[in-house]
Amino acid sequence: MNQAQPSRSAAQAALAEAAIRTSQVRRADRQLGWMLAVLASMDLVIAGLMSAAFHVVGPAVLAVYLVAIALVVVVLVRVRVYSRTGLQLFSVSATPFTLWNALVSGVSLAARWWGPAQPGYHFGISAVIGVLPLLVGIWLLFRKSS
Amino acid sequence: MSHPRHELDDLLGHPVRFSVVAMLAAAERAEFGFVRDNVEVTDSVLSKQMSSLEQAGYVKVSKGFVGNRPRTWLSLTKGGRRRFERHMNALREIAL
Repeated sequence: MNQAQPSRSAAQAALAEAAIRTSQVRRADRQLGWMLAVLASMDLVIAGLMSAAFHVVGPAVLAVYLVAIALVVVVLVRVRVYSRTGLQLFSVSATPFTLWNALVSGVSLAARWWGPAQPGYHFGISAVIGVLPLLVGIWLLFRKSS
Repeated sequence: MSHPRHELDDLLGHPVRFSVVAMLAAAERAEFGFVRDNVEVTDSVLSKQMSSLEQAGYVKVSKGFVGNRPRTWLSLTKGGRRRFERHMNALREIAL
């Protein structure tokens, strides 16, 4: 219990101070958005490469994959704060992306619809669909932090 | 006792402690260095305030590593979050 009464202006200043601290945390949540952006870029570049020339792009796909993983790790190491909402947005975006890719890979392999003889647009269409939740997550994370 | 001042928390009356707890209230958890840099205090000032907040059960301190680098993470406990909310509600009433 507190017997001292802060003035109205002191209370307003304290509320303003709290709002500043909240905005600093929200701004930092952008790093989660950058991680999603790296994943989305990786997915689209790999799908583009595979759609264009599936049988010759193995090393290029591997390089894109490794660069993307390195970038995600760099951002991850730099994350010094995150909000619960930011983490939820990240998870809600990344989970359907991962599940969709697993589903596409699994079904393609099971149906033997994955090889040089098959149409390349398969990868492009799958990637565009898979990347949608990431784009929504990126938009929401950046909107929240602005 | 209906006056809002009775809902104010003595521990949060300190400006540095208030800023730290306000930041942690917005975060799931925050790294010690992030809080220090944004609240603009020295390591020793923040450590001292964190000790009193931790002893009072407002804040949880956990240590870990990212690669070889040691990291200290700070987060509000449920009780700390509740007390901060009550403190903020009292401030809002006073500020009206």
